[in-house]
Amino acid sequence: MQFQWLPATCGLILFLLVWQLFVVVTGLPPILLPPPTQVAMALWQERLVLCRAVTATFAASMLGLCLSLASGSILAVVFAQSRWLRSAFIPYIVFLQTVPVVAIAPLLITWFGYRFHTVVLVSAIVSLFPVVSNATTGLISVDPLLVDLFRIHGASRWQILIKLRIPNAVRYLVLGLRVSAGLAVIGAIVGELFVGDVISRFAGLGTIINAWQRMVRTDAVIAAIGASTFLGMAVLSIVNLVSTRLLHRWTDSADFEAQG
Amino acid sequence: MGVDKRPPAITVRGLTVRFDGHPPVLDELDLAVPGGEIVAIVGPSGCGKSTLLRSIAGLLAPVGGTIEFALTGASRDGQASAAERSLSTCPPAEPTGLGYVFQEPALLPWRNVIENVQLPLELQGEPWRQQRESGAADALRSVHLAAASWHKFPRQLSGGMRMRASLARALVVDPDVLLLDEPFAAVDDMLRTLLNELVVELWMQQPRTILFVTHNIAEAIYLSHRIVVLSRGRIRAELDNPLPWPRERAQRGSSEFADVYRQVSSALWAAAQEAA
Repeated sequence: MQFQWLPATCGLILFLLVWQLFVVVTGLPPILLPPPTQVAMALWQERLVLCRAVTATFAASMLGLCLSLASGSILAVVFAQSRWLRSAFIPYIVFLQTVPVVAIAPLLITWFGYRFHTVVLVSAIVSLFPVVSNATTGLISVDPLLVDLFRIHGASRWQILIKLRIPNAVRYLVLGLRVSAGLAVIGAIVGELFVGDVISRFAGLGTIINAWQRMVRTDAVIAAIGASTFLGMAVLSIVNLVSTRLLHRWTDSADFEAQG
Repeated sequence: MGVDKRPPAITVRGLTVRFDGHPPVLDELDLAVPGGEIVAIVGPSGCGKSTLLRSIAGLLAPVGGTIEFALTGASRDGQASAAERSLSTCPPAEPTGLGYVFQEPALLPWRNVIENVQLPLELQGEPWRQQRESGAADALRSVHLAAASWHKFPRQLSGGMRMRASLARALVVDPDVLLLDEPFAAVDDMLRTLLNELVVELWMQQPRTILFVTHNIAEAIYLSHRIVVLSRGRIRAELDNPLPWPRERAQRGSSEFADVYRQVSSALWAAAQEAA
């Protein structure tokens, strides 16, 4: 669906109005549900903390995404080599996917400590699956006629990988990357909820949400949630921009936008 | 059976191809393709036409029989490759000797036309980009693809242009033998006629050995020196094509053409009935 600014803005304003009215009419205490005006004030007061948190979470999720892109692509190339390898390992990658991160995060902390790189790792694990599955699909779902063509001209396995399978996988990989981008942000924030340390330089969004929740600063928590959403969208648009540039050989950008 | 005018470029003896648990697709098939001639293979669907071509190209390992190439001096022994077949690998074709055109253009969508045509040269290890480009340009000119389309991607071209690009890619290695596997089956009649004339023109410029699989009798007659009827894995009839060269569009309406058409058609029906 095409994003249209005017109706979208109207929808947001309407939502905020209903929210404000609801709080005023019901007289709910601000620690349960602050009105949007108060959230806006908290957003302004804490703008520096929030900016630093967004930057930290952005860094963690981008590094996590790069890590899952790199390791996922390598895994996919390995899996593409044999059906046996795929049957042997892909079920466990799916398994890794279904284990809630919330459950493995404490374990990762035990292994890697309350550190920034643990957050990156959580983000990478959460965003790994779409990369591996899409890249593997792209590498193995090559038109058999094209494989025949390569073999007729005496192509080696390596040439088939480099000149046929990998280029064929690029489109699939980019689609996976779009899903992974959102997941990487979620993973980073979840990681920070556990790893969080307000004093450290790496106080990300998850960290401050955790801290403010303990201080019962509901308005600031909501402001931080807003910032997380903004970050997620920003990361997604960066990935979209990069992928459109990258894909000009594969599709006319118009087709690709229509698909996405 | 016709009389061999020229020494065979491809000699197939006792070729047998069988997929596990099925009756043989090719059953002790013998075929000699004279050098520099066009042999059309016609037959009902599933008669083994494509399997024969794929075996000659080295894409399938036969369980029995031999395929010899006179020009390259290479041969492929079915018995020897039977062991390899169980490992689902097949010996690659002789690198420079073969050009193959599929039923679909089978172009790489991420490469533009000239990059697609260069692909066989790249795979065969031609190190100089300039050399590859000039080879591809020559091939593209020979199939009358205008330079304006050379840097377009396949999705930006019409079906006919894609087929021409595919033909150029087969020609770029200057093959001794050209294998055409129902290349024009998916195009409309007018385009088919034009592409048939292009094949005639290419052959007139350089008389390569061409093995042409089709299920269109008119196309088989227009393009060939000899027509082979294949059914249930065996050759059921071989006809010498008496139509004079150069072939021209007007010949399609001649009474001679109609005679050959009747002959091929009745041979096909006879083969089909024999099979049934």
